[in-house]
Amino acid sequence: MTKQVTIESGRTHTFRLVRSIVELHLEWPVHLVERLPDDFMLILSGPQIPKQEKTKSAGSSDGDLVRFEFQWEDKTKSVQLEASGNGQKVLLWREQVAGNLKAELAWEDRLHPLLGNHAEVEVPGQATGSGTVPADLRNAESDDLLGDLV
Amino acid sequence: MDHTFPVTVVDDAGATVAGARVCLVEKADLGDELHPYPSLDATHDDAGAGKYTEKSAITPSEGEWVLVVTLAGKAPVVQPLNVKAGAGGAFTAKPKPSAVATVTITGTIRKVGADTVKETAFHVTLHSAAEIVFIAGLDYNRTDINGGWLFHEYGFHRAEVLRREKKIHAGTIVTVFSTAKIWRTTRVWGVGKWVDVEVGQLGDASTRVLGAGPDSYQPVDGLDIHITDFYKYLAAVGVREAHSVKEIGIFSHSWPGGPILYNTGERAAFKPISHVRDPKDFDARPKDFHAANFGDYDKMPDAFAADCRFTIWGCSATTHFKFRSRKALQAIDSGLAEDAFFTVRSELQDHDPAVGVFATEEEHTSELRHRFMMDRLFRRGTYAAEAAKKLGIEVRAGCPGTGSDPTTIDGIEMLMVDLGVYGDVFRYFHKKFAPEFAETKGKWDKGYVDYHAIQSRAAVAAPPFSTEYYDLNIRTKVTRWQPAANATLAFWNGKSIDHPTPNVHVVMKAVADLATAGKKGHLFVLQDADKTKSQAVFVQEDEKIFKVTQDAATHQWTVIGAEI
Repeated sequence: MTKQVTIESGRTHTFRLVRSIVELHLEWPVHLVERLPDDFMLILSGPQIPKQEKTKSAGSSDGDLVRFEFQWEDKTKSVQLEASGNGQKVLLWREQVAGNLKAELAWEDRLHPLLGNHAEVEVPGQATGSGTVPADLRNAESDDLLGDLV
Repeated sequence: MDHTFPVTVVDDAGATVAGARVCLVEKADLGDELHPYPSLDATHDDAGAGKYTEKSAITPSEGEWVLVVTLAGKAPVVQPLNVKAGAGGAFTAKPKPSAVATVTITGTIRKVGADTVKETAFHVTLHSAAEIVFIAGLDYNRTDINGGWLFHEYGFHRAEVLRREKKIHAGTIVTVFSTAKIWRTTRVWGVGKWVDVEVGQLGDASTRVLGAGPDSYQPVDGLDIHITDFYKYLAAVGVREAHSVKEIGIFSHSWPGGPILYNTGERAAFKPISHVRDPKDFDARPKDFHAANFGDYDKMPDAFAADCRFTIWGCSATTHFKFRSRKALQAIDSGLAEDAFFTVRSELQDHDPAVGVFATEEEHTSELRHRFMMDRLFRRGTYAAEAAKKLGIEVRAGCPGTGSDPTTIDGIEMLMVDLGVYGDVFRYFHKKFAPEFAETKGKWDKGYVDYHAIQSRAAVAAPPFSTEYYDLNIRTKVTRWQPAANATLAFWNGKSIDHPTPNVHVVMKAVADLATAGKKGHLFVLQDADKTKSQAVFVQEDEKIFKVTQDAATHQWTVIGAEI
């Protein structure tokens, strides 16, 4: 955006006002992202903001977390964040002015509706170091059991 | 950089949850309190619609943190976290040791110019309150009881079995007491694996003063875990979250008198003649359920869900009972009358070959008398019987005569009763105690019967006195637990005579008119290898028992002496 301003210097200057850039990073655990459908997509949109789409593979991972990055101009603009996959669409943010850092984010929903079931796993047991099981332990006291103990 | 830590709480159906206590604190703030940290103050307010926001700004710092979310009627959620500082002053909270199944974390970083804020949002799912609680004995047959056979692993294995069988939900708390390691571990299901959310070290095992050899460690009050600590924990759960405990169990060596945590035994003054616990005894006892002791943990039953199960996973392996059940089955199969007599002989053998056979038993009895004695053991005197009677829940243990052995199936080792090895024993009990007698037949759960169910049967009436009944116990050698080698001959009315040597056998003969004219009975001669030590008694049909000596001339046992 450009704007012409007349200053009484006898000369004409041209200023370029660059609206602030908003950077957004969303992080989820790897194990959660793995349960998202293969056609998972994160979609950021808003009035006068080019629609941005991130596929599942677009996230960068540090081994524990997967990060999805977006950015747009103008911190005053509201944005909408959606997630889709497997024929479902989930609204995460509705008209959030995310560039206003003083405002808390209001999440409409989380990714949970899109998550697949955990894979069935069978956790093996740990070694017990088991030994032999002797019979007749404390046999000398067995007769007491038939007495009037209680 | 500013950080916020909002928390969303929903139930397992996805509905928002109000009224939860939400705490996000440094681990150090927990102090000495253990899971689920009842004194911890909430750090978040309920903002409605399942959303919880910080009461005041939480300033993150590097180190160990913990998220605690609790609500009456719901299983507590605890997620330990490791908080680390990253680029630009952004702190990241990662689950440590790993993520629990009930919490997911979303990080959102927003940056405008030089300003950055980070929101770390926790999404917590609360399931209905559910806990399973186990205690494990230690491997007392060794000098270093800190190691060896680690029975506490069976508690975790049982939890995995219940998970695989879909009998517990993802929020279930698994609590395991280890006497060997002196800890109480709280474990929950995570993401494809189990997560220890807390290992509460109750004592320092390195400070133990070990004994000089096997079976010599004396547990110490204030250091070691006592069986009553298990009961008291359950009583506390009963107060905090009534009816939430789905299963309890004890993994250890065991005998019909109870699970053996340390093999402490009871000193003579505290044996069954007294309801008072021996202060030096840390093991489980039937008297634990007597009113004299139960008051210390009388809220324990409140902890139990209606379908709670208590299992004593160790042995009930009295060899003589096993042999007697087999003989009783043979008597049934061969059509003998229920009170027709037969003789049962058994040997008691220590697992230490240096000891070998240390006692023998010879009993002249009948199926009916065996049935009566087994019925008694299901009803009273044994640990399982007293627990079932007092707690009023399903209490499973091996039936008298059966042992349980470590058995591994599909990667999980459990203690189980071999249904094949003890097939005849089970056949006997099915014939006489079914349908209430029904052993478990699960993949990892075999051979345990419900004493509480069996107690619902009509009691077996006491058979009448019989002069034909006898029970000869011979202690063949001196052992660590057996101070003398000698013998005892006991009769149906509970009277007995002692014999000073183990080199003896009994000869029984039906006679009449020996003591009282017109009265019948049986003469029992204890024939010693040293004939001068032989002795005899006459058991008369009116239950009188007389000493008998040999006639000097005939050397026959015909001279009636004093009544005993």
